[in-house]
Amino acid sequence: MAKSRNAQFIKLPNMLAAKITVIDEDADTKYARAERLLEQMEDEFIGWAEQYLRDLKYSVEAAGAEPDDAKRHLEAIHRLAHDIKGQGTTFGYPLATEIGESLCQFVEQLEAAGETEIAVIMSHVDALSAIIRNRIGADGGEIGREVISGLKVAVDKLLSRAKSQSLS
Amino acid sequence: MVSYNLENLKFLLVEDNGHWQKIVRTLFIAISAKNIRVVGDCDSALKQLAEDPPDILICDWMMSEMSGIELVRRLRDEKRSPNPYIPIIMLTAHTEKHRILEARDAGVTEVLTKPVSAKGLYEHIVSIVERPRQFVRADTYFGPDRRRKADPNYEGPERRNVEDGEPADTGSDLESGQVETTVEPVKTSVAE
Repeated sequence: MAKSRNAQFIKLPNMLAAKITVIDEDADTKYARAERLLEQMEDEFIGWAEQYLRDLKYSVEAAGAEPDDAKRHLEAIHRLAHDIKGQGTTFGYPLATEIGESLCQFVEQLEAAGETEIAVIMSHVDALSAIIRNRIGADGGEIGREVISGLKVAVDKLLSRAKSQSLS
Repeated sequence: MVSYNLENLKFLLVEDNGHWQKIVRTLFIAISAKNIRVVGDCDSALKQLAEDPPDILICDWMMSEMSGIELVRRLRDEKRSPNPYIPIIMLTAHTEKHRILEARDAGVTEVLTKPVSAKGLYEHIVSIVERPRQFVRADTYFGPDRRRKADPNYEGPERRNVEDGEPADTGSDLESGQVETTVEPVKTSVAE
């Protein structure tokens, strides 16, 4: 007869419950407080984003100039895009988050960066620069939608071409 | 939602990006959780866990030397961990399903995706305190129960009762097997 192995379930005493107390403050008050504190940090975020963009431009140029070392530069680009993706919406720039996400997903699939790939990456960087320079918050309206749509078309086209080349 | 004073809870944030350190610290201040220590790498986190253990660990996924996921796996290794039962909130900008499952299977308690909000942070902390997960020790996993509730319609692989020779698949655990309880009862005390 085959042996069966059972999992063990371990119930721990809830020691953390004794460390919290109910207070007479609505949770929404906490959230509003957070929003105010983050609004006060907006200028600081813009400064961070400007540095991310400088670093992105450096890494994109390096990826183009040093194709043998492209993987390292693509990793740097991915990390910077990942940071912008994570922070944009927090400070009222969801379009920056969306573009950051698009750039992350694109770069993740690259092993190398030829001219076309570099052009697509730079399109993302240029779009991010415009958002930060002009402080385009929310979803950027109709122009924002067009930017996202344009980037998606470029990314999809390049990735499906790469896929069909690898299958042939 | 009920509002709690979190001042007596001790948090440890493991995050190597100075900007994120500031953002998360600001959110903690907003939700009245003032007892927060910040370290910039996983080795420092392990040292802190051994010397001055926090109540809840928050760690970022992407870090330079040891990643947050590697830290979680290390902490859930009962032989090597200073506290294998510590609640862990993973902060990550990864939103892909396979990444969330990877974090879950590494043994995180909660995943909080970036962009982080005060609401998301507060609700995850309250979830850990109000509804702590039991832990599961199985052949291929040790960590918080990955299911919040039983699903009578579940049709996936049954890993909690595994016949020898069958592969351990990913999927939810079922409620079965031996139940082990600790001596002390679950304590819940909330001051008026």
